[in-house]
Parts: sequence; C-alpha cells; structure tokens
Amino acid sequence: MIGLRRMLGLAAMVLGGAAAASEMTGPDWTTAVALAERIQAGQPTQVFDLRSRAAFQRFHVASAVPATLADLLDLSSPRSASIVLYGDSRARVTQAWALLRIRGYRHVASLRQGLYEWIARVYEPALPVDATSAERAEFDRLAALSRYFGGQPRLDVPRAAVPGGYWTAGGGLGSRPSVETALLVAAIRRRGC
Amino acid sequence: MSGAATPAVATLAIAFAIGGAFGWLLERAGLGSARLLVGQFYFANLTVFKVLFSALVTAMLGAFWLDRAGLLDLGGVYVPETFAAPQALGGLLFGGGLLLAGLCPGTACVAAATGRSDGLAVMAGLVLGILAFNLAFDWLDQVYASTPLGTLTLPDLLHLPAGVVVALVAVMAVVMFVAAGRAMGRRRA
Repeated sequence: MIGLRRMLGLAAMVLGGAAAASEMTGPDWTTAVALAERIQAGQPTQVFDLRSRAAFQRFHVASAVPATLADLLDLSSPRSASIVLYGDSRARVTQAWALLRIRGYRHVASLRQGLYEWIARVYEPALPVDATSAERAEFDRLAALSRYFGGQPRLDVPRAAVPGGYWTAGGGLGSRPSVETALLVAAIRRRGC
Repeated sequence: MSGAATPAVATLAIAFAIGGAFGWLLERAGLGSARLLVGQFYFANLTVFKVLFSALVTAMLGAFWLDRAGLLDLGGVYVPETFAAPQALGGLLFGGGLLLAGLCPGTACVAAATGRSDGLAVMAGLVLGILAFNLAFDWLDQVYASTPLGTLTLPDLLHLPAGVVVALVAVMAVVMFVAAGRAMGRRRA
C-alpha cells in the first residue's frame, strides 16, 4: 500500500510533468515579424485581440479587431481563413484557439510573445549601440517594417535597454523597453501570449 | 450595505478565512514552537522546510493549473517588483530577527495565539518595528526605492516556459523532501 506522502509526491511529479508537457501543446505560434510581413504583403489574415476593449483602444496590433470568445463562436469567416490570436491571458488564447479549431478553422495561430513582441520587434525595434553587422542588417529590415506600420525604430540603444525575448541571445534578462513601450507593456501580462 | 462595498467585504472575509486556515495549519504543524524553527538553522529539524516548501509547491501547481483551466487569470495576480539592495538588506534583517527570536511574523502570530510569551514578545517587537519603519520612512525612502529591477519571475530569468519551470520546481521539491526525510531518519537513528 502506497503511503500518503508518496502519493502526494507522485501527484506533484505528475502535475509538474504535465505542466511541462502542456507547453508543447496548444496554439501554433507565429512571430510578430512574420505576421507583419504577411499584413504588409497583403496576404489576408484576421487578427483577433482577446484583451479588454480598453486595452485594445490603448494599443493593438495593426489590423487587429477586438474579440471575445462569444464573438469567435459566431465567426462566419471561411474555414480556410488564416487567423492570428493574442491576448493577456494564455488560458483565454488557448480557449479561443481550441474553440476555433473545434469549429473547423484550420489555420489558427497565436502571437508567440503577444503584444510585447509586436512592440519590441515591429512597432519599436531597437538597434544596440554596439550592434554587429548582422544585427544592423536585421534592424534595417525591421525598421522598414516599423515605418510601414507607423512605428518608431530606435537607434543606438544601450544593449542592456534592448527589449529581449526569444529573438535575442540573452533573452529578456535586464532588458528594458523605452518609456513609451514600458507604459504600454505595463498593461500587458508579461507571460501571456 | 452598498453594492460596491460587497466585493471588498467578501474579499476581506475570504482573506480572513484563508489566514485563519493558514494559522491553524501552521499551529498543527508545530511551527508555533521557536525551538522547532531554530532547529532549521542547525539542520536539526527540517519541519519548517518541509511544511513551507509543501505549501509553495501546492500553491504553484494550483495556480498554474487553475490558470490553464481558465479559472484563474495569473496575469491579474500582482507580482511584487524586485528592489535588489533594500530587499537583500531586509532579508538579512529578517533572517537575523528570525534566528534571534526563533519566530517569523506568521509563526509569531500562531505562538501568541496559543499563549506563548515568546510569541507575544515577538509580536510586540513586530508592531514596534512597523511603527518605527513608518515614522522613519521619509529618511529611508531613497534606500527603499533603490536598485529597482522591475517584476522578475523565474521563467523570465531562466528564459524557460512557465510549465517547464513548474516541472523543475516540482522535481526539485520531491528530491529535497526525500533527502530531508532520509537526513532526519539518520539523525533519529
């Protein structure tokens, strides 16, 4: 007979393992740059902002429309439509993704690091003051995208102040967006999508 | 009672109930005893570690899965900002006080509630400390707000998905519980 302590330990291991596994499932990802390039190229893409109306009005991804789960339940787009979701709650994005997939939409993705990524990579890309040639080339590409969407590329930013994420070698550690970005991001959940 | 006041009252009632349950569990775990708490510092008794780490893992797994189930929005949970220097200083002060008194604020409440005189003395010191800190806050303000690092979480620091960090902490906890159990077993033998 297995003891209570062993059962609790086993439960913790199972729930912990399932937590790691849950990161492997759920919505397919797309990146902010890939989304921006799709929009710029005129490829039809529906972007849904799952945050509150107030947060949407403050700032949102270009071409996005605010939506609730109820709105998505009534969505009447063709099932082949390309759909991108983002929000401030991973749970809500996952629910929306699952809802659309169950309804037969085949091309549903979520923005990998949500609105934060959109701001950091598309709306306000930053060039480190000690940028390498590869970083300069990448920045030129992002700056053109940024200007297309009315953004503000930032030049000669101290490396420690460059917003980090999966796209930077050092990740997000020590990174700080600009004041404007910080104000926007303050309203965004950091670990959401 | 106004409609606007109801949520605040309900919130306070829930907080009171959770606080009461927490205190009762601490007392039942024996953490009202200064002797038991100080034993942690000498690795003579690892009950504190086991009780508090169990609480941490339970809360972590509960919060993670409630978020995943859509029942709790972790984005709405306030994560205190990190201020490296003042929090390190506060940690040292807290640790020193804990070692000296044998009780931390929570366990001091439990000890006081069960009539222990050391608990009552620590509570009195705690109240005096709060009073002194607030009276001196204008002078401490510069230190209090120094070295801000913003909101830091383990997933952010480790650049790992939250679920992976949850799994790592759960594994670490189970390994530590087993090790603590064996160490205590050897000590008793």
